[in-house]
Amino acid sequence: MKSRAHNFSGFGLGFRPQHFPDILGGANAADGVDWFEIISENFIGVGGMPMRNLMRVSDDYPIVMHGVSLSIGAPDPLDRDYLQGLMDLAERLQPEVISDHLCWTGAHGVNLHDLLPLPLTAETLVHVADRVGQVQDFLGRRIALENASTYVTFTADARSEWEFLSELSERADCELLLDVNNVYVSAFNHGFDAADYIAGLPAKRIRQIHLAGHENNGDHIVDTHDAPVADPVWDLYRDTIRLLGPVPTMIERDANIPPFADLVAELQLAREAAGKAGHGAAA
Amino acid sequence: MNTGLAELQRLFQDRLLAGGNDIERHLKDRGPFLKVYDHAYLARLLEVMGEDFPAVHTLLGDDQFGDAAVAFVRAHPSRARSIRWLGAGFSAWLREADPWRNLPVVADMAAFEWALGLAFDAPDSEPVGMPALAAVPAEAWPGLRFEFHRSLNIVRLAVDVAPFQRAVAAERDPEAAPEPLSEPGDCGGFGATWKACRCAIGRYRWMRRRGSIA
Repeated sequence: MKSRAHNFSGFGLGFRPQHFPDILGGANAADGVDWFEIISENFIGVGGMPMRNLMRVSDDYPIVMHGVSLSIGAPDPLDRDYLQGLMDLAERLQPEVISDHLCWTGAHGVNLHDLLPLPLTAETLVHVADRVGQVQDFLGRRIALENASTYVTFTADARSEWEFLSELSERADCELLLDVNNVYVSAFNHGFDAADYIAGLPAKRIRQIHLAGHENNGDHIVDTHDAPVADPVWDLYRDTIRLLGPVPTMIERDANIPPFADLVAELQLAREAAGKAGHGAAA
Repeated sequence: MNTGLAELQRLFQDRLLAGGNDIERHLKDRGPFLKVYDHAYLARLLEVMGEDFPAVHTLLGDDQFGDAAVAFVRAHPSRARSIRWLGAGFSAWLREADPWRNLPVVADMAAFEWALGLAFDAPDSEPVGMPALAAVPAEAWPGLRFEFHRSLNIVRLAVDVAPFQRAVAAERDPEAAPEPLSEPGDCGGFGATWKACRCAIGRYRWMRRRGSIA
């Protein structure tokens, strides 16, 4: 098992098959990228060339594992096979962060493969905190939960999402993955102030930041990950770094994927944005 | 009175799987953007089916492929953690469901493409080599059992789907529609057996006719 002594910092990209030849193309192939994030499910229970590629990149770069199927808010018992798969993968990769989303993805054995919203109630808080505890006990480490983009809110909501995440992270002793684009998207869709959201989170628990592009449909915004990061999200990111200090940051791009060099160039914008906020070199 | 978490999730899931409206009264302003979830559910599943079965898609065209894929995911909501496995039962479903069951080429193409996908990323296992075999004492030979490498999948086909699939994978226009296989000998005319193997991704080999496999 590998062990790493370095500190996790800097700016990362997703490890996507379209870019394998660029990333694995030899020395300095991925200059400008400090680490890579994988979608955990893509590498659980698989082998062959995809896994060989991942192991090669993990020799040279820190890896973070980002999941989409933990379904931390679901009514079903936690899937032990899935957790074991996460653990086995983590054993091999020694990731800096293991993350998933504050959401549920299906009930009664069905997986809807979407990050669905939770009612922000006391009942949900107890339920999710208990399950985060179970996951962390199983994995023997903290996980980070990400704020998902949401398109509806519930009449039963008794607290804001940032209040919910703050309480949850304290109660479950977990970390947070702050998706700045998702804050912007949800703020637009539900009419709250994105700055209030970020200021309301416990800074010390924010382990990583996501940035991504979205689609503005006039009366609502959809988190699409198919376009460059939008200008207002860059503004919010600068404010976020000003407030939080340096936080490892990555750009997610999952559709309409451009050449690798374009994403590296966009990542440089994140570096510069953090620099303008006074934390570029350290971030 | 507050509706509990599990009930709200049941109603939300019923909305996505069956178009139910009961969740709306539990959403602020009755959820004007609930349509985002409605759209995303099927759009995501269709996208993945299209990625996993490009030759079936080409064979059927957009509309018919969409009909088949939607009917399949409606009949078999995903139960796997990874969306990678969404299409696992597609070819078996096509063999049974109207009108596709009358078109064996469609199910055969789906089975073939799925097997190629499995060959690509099946879990690793170490093949047994000659030295390991040679080290087995002679008296232990009668008890030996062999298992295929986990990337090996055998599918029985009635239609020669490979040239069409190969053209689609190479982003060329297929020259002709897949032809039924005329299978001499022990296969009895209902099919042939193909193997997809990891050693050459996206390739496959004729195996011997079934009757000659010991």
